Amino acid sequence: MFENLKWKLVERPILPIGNTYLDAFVFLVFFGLLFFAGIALKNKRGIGLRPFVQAVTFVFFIFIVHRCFCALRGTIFSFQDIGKNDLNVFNGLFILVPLIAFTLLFGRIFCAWLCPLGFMQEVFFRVPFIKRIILDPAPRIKRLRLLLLVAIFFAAVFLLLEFRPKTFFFVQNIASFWGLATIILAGLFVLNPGADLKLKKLRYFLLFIWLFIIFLGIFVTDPWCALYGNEIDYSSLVGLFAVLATAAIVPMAWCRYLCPLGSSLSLMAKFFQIKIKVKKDSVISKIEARQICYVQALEEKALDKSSCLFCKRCVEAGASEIEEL
Amino acid sequence: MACCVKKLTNVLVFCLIFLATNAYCDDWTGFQHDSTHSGSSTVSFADEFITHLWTFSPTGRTWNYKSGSSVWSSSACIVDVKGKSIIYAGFYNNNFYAVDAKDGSLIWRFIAGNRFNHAPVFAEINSRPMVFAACSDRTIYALDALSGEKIWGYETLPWSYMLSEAIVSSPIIIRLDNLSLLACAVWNSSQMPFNSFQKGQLYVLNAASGEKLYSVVLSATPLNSPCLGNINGEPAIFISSNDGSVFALNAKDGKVIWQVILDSGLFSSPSILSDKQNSRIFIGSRFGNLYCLDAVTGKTIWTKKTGHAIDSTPAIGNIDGNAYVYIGSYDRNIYCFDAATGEKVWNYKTGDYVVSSCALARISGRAVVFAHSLDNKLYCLDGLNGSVVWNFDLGKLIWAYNTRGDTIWSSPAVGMAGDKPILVFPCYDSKLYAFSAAIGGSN
Repeated sequence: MFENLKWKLVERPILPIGNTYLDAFVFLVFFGLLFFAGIALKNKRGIGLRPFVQAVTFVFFIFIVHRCFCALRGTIFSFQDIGKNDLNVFNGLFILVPLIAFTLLFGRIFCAWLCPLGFMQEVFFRVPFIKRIILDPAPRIKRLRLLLLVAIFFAAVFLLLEFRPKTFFFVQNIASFWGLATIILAGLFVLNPGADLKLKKLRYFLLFIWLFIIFLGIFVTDPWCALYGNEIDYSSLVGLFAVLATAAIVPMAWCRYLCPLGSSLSLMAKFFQIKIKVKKDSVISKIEARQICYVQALEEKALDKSSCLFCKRCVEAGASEIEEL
Repeated sequence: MACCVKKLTNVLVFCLIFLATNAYCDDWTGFQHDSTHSGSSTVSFADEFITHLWTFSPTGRTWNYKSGSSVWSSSACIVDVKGKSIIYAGFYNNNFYAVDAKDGSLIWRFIAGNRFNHAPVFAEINSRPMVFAACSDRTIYALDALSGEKIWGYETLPWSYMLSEAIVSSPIIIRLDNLSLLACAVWNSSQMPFNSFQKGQLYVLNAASGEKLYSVVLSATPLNSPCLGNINGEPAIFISSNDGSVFALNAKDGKVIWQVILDSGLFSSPSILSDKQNSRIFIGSRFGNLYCLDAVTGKTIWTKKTGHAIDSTPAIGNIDGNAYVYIGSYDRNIYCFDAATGEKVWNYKTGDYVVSSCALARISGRAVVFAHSLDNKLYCLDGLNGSVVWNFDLGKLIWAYNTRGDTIWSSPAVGMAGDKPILVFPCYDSKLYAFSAAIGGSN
């Protein structure tokens, strides 16, 4: 049925670098979008452009070109190839260098403005019906959310067991285990929303494990690998299912608690140049803060800078202001 | 009556001569059977009760696996040398072995400076049976097929401290104007400060003497095994590189006729299907596409997307007048596509990645595909509908994990051990397994 479905519009490099499959056009677009997002962030009316940038990025990288942003595994593997295979090194670093540079300048701008997986998760929060369920503090809705998470968990376990490879069981399924972990952490958050900050701190520990596994030489896949269509691994698909389904219950749970790339960018974001600060005269309640901020970086009187995605929704809502450039 | 007996005898003699000739013609002489990488043999097993015949274990022990290492032995070739069926395969222990195909006993071995990761090629040069193999010690060796004596060795680059291990390809033999050429790709890299280089180079040597005729630098990344076809009647070499390019070169002088850049890295070698109308090249990519390219222009005729990356080399079989392409994918499937249209004929899902290339043969006249999957099984599938005819459990891998793409997995080969068809698979447990049908077969 889907055999003749063409997922990617362009399957060859548009501007081949040195007669290779590497496409300068992809990198230029990536760089351009980051730059555009940075400019839009500076502008007071820039917030309105965010969905546009997100949509363009999503369509361009998911349906038009076939390149994948392998920012962690690809980079670490490419470091191992320095002096041996320059093409791999170039491939690995070409994405990472602008990503680090823009993160240092604008914070986790990639997460809020460009990341296709973040965009897909955010879409759920924009559906009024889902948003109402997500934000409704009533105990029976809480029970329903828990029940749904349990159902998603078992569905993901079923898919994992159904599609698991016969050999290398653990190492080939890391993406699915991370997907399962997302569901568990989201469940803990539903049980006790006050534990959000503690759960968020877990991501650095999980990032350490993730990097350690890559350093061991294991070909780690990520739920977002499947999105790009370049690495449609069964574990990535199961992970992607878990991440997206969980996002309908707990907004952007993957970005908050587990995303390895997001976690590493959040470490760099501590040094970023633009700062968002909660207004001193701001009088927003906890509920309002939750409604404004997808990732719950905004508290009543504070902003969790490492979690802030720089979507500027809080600035638009008048709760925060950009402090300095 | 006497006349009938004489006629019958003549027929029998003709049949025997035909079988003998055919047996020689259908030797599995190199990587994927021949210089076109068809992977297709006309050897026919008598029945589907294929059983383990013998195991050749070079050392009786296995060294530790390390990431980036090859599988324990390269793909084998099975040939009839002066009436003796011999299997040639290089191993991880820097040794190249000639093994008696009938019983798996060692005939001779040759020790080189590094591992043999790729299949050797056999050819008779000036009536002398020779076997050629490229080694990771940057050298291409020509050995006497009967004695193992080194005839010549061509070192592609002199040794230095800063050189990495060479990545070589399986060589092919090109017959050109009464001259036998050996084409082989070698990737050398030096980490010399300020003067480092990475060169994927195609070497064409005189097969008789080892003299270099020409070499062409095609890429900064490793090259895959070349294959031989023709463009407008002229012999042409087709080769792919890890950076995503497919090249067509004039076999006479090495001039690039065309180059196309495909979607992603290429770790699959091209295969050629030549018929009366045109020649087509088949190759799989890391993006999961199987490409059918026009050999004359390099233009894409059709593409088919599988669920994951393709590293295996397509095998091409002709069944009842129709050509089919068989390929394994990281999506765990073994696929059969119609070579003319690209329509999927069937797919069979195994338990894990299918990285090695398929070998085609027959069982009781029925076309079958032999393929290895990383679910540790060797499969035999029906060539027309993909149903499982036979499978063999090779046992667990002897290491906990291998980084995807780091290991070169060997592929099965089919040939004759005297009058008995055999299937040979150099396995990841450092052993060479041979299988045969219980009641023989034909060629």
